[in-house]
Amino acid sequence: MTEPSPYYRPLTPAVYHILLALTDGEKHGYAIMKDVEVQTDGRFKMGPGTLYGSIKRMLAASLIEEADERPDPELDDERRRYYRLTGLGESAVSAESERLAQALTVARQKRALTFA
Amino acid sequence: MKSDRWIELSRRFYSRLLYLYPKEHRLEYGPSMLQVFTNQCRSACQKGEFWGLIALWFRILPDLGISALQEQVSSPRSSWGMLEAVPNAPLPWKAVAMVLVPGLIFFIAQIGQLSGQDWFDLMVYRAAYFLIIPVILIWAITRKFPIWGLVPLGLLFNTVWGFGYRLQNSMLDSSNQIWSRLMYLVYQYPIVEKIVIVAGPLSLMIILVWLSARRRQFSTWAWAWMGIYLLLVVITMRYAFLINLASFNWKFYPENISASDFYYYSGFLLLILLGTLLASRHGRLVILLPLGYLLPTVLYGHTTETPLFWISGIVLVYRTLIAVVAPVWIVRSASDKAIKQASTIVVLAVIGIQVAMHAGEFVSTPWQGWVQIYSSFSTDLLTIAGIALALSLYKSIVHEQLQSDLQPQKS
Repeated sequence: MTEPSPYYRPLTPAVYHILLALTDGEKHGYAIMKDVEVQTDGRFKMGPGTLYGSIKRMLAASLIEEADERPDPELDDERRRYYRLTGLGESAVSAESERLAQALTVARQKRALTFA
Repeated sequence: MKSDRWIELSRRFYSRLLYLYPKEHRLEYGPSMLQVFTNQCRSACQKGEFWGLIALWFRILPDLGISALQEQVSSPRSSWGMLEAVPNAPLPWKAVAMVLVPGLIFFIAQIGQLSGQDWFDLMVYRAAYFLIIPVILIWAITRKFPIWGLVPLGLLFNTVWGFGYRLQNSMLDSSNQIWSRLMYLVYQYPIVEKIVIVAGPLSLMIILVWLSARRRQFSTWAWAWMGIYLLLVVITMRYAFLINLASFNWKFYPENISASDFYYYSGFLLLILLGTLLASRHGRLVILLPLGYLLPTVLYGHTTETPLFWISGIVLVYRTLIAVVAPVWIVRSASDKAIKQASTIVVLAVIGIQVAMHAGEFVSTPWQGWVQIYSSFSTDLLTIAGIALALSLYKSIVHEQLQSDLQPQKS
């Protein structure tokens, strides 16, 4: 019997939103941060400390990897580092989204949402 | 133009603040963090000029403080690090210093004890309380238990036992309103005393055994040593029963059960079981945990009945070696074999000297039969059984961990 992936456990909000930001493709740090702000209507704003602390741990856990090539080297600052999802990262964000969707269904059934 | 100057000033200040992060983190991510921060400054200035920048700083500073602390305590090579026992590599010097702190305080307290001052208990117990605070803080922030927290945790257990003993024997300060009310409650309703002294540790112990056994962390040897340990506890607690047996009186007197003995021995067992939850992370170094418990209790040194000052001197040297040298030796041992060797020698020295001291007491008192033999060595037997239980538990867990580490990673 195969062991379930350790990333089928709930992810922290920062890690989940970063993974979600990278589902569109490779992004650099500031683009990830802006994407997270858009995802959450500005309610979740990360600082550079949280962002790069999370990126460091996600790299160590092989959820993301650093991209070798810039999407458009002519238009972009060459010092920028781009990140992209790994296979494990894709399955982690998918599992977490399913978990949240399930929780949302239960919350709706129990009328726990304010607009229900 | 004006906003550019504010951005440049903010940039410079932020680049200085990056020194709060561990060096390796700063070198790896510092330029990227500064770049992101500059982008944030530009965006903030576009929205609200100077006040936009101020609002950004209010948001950035807590983020920087929390993340810098998190990086400092979680990085094994950072100046505050030492959370992970890096395999086959010596720990950072600050880790060793932290392991040494209880030993140094203990050593200073010994000098006071030799000169007849009675601040030994206070010093050691208070030290345990304060030393556990950074350990708990780090656990709360990172959900990791620092390796140097093992010794203070052992001392804390000893403190808790000391509190239980004082509670049972009305030794707590009666001028304190809270204690006096608590003691009134305890002695007014004996069932409360039993709950506090017996049911608390017992239920914790059952939970820990269940948790450990559920994870298949109990080898056959571990079960055997636990059986022996519990048997010895029962016999020691029923010391009156033992005396009755010696005089062929088989009647059972439940009121003779010594609750303080139960508290004392179950405290030691709890500590060993707690070590099983930490052994997968710290390996055999968890032996520091029961060792931290043994350090202040193993010998009593100078007493008014023992005028031989040189005996106290020898005891002081021995305690200094155990408290100060042993933790450094165990923690700084580079290989697994060396750690095992250092732990075994230290533990054997503790047990050996304790047995020798009690043997001296036994020889100097008149012969009273096998009950006297048992009562003289009951503490030593329990210590030996407890340490053997700890070693068998930790050994099987470390072995299991090693096996799983050697297995190929599944993609």
